[in-house]
Amino acid sequence: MMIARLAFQSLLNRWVTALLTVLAIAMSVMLLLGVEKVRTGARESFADTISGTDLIVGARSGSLNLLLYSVFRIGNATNNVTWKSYQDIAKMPEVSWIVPLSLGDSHHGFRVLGTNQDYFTHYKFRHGQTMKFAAGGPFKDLFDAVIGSDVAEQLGYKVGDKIIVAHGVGSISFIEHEDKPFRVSGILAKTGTPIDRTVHVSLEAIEAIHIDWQNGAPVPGQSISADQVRKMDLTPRAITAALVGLKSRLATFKVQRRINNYEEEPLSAIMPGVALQELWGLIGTAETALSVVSAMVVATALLGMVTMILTTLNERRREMAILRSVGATPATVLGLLAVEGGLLTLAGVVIGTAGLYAGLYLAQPYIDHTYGLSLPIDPPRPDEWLKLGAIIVAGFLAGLLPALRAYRLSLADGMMVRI
Amino acid sequence: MMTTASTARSVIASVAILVSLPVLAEQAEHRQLGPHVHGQGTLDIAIEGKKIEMELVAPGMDIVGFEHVATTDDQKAKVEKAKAQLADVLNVFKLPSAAKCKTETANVESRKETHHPGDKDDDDDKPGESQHSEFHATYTITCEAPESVTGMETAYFSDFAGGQLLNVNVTTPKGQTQAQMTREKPTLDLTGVM
Repeated sequence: MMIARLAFQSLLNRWVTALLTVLAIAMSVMLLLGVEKVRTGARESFADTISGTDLIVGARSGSLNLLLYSVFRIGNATNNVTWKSYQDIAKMPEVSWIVPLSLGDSHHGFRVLGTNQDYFTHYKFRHGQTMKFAAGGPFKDLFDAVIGSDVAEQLGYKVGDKIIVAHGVGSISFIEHEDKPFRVSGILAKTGTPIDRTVHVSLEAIEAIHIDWQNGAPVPGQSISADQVRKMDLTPRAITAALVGLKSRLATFKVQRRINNYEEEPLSAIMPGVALQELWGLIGTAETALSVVSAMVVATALLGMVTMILTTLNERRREMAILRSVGATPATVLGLLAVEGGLLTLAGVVIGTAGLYAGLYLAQPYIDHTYGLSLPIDPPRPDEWLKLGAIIVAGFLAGLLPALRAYRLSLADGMMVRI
Repeated sequence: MMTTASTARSVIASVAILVSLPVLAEQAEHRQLGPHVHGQGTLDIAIEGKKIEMELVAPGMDIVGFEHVATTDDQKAKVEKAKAQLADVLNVFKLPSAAKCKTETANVESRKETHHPGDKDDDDDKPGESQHSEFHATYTITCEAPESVTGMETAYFSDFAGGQLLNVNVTTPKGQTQAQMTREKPTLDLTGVM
């Protein structure tokens, strides 16, 4: 106890360097824990993008590919699914609901998704939340569009505005469906998922804007006006993917196998949760790399602390000599410096952890709103406590290094005859 | 304007198409095969209410060490023993005792992988002919306290010397996940989805 008090008083005497050292350690601890928080937050946000959907059906492809293009709008489909197959799946007795998704067009770089009204009731995210409208409502007219909150914010759209959909998915549009503009019928509330960056229209509308096109380009002199198109048969010929909900979860694997073995068309049915797990397996290496980097930052901070104590040793020869003269044994000097290292690290760990939680508490709503990343504010998990404990022990041990030097010096200083 | 040469070519082409038509018709049968990896099996687990449904698909190589039709008495005995072992599901896949689970149905069959699940085996396999065969097992289990099913321990790897890995797909009221059980780690943690 005595040693701890002496160490504390000694540190107080050099409070500027001590404070900076503590801050360096605190920052490194914040980084170490913060990386972990962001990692789990990112995973959860990703996993939260889709919930309540039992299967996703698309053309035969890898499960990751299908998940990424159908839910995250990353990449493209290998093939389309014919409308007939879609209807066959919809008719399966185990299927409770099915929502078609049709991708391929864009609006100023935002993907356009053709779907139906069920999308707004059956698509769930973040533990079963459904989409809410910030303004307006779902599409009712053929040329109505519902836009995500990011689309509305970045392009400054309000309900009732006219928008033109472009063919293809580039942010620079070469061919536009300018003869058939859409009216914004609703704006969705922020979800923190790719929905925010999507323009939703009905499947029939997707069909309608392509009806007078051939081979991916408008045919000159053959344009069909928006009014004429309303009278035509707009049953889609193909969709990109479909979300499927089942009456009973127990049928999941059975239906999945039946779709994968569907003879009329090569299809893939994937379980979104399982595909996400595969994704974690892939990016796990990058996550490990992040953790290693943050661990190295902690090591650097501890090294800085050792340097600080070592450099001040020379100035503190007098302090040591006085301690020795009043009867402190070399072992006391050794203990003193080791405790100093431990105290600095402990302070760093406490401040770092407190700082992280304060920061999380303050920044969480902002990060959630801006990036759709919900960072969990929960107490450190067992393995994190272990890490923190290991850092304190490491700090104490690091303190031993200058302590050993001081121990030797204090002996020498005691023996030397000074002039 | 069409030249004589190109007319001739298109005539030849149409003849070629005509000739190849019957061949195409013959090829119009449906062909597809699932993956088959020795050492790797798949275990699907679906949990709803008090009911757990499981399905195991494992290559014959993993279970009995051969994939042709059993001919000798020794081989036949091996297949029968494996079927009996797999049928005792709660011994192969041990669930926590607190969940109080019991087996409702257990159905184990060994079949060629060209058969779709549920198809009847037409037993046209030629004895000794090498081909991939698989064991399919379907189970229905009920548990009085399904919330206690927080994990699983398997004797699959000690029972069957050829098994190296089980890919486990799980769907529960809380979500879906995928995990692996291996010879080194024959356990499954379900705390995240229960």
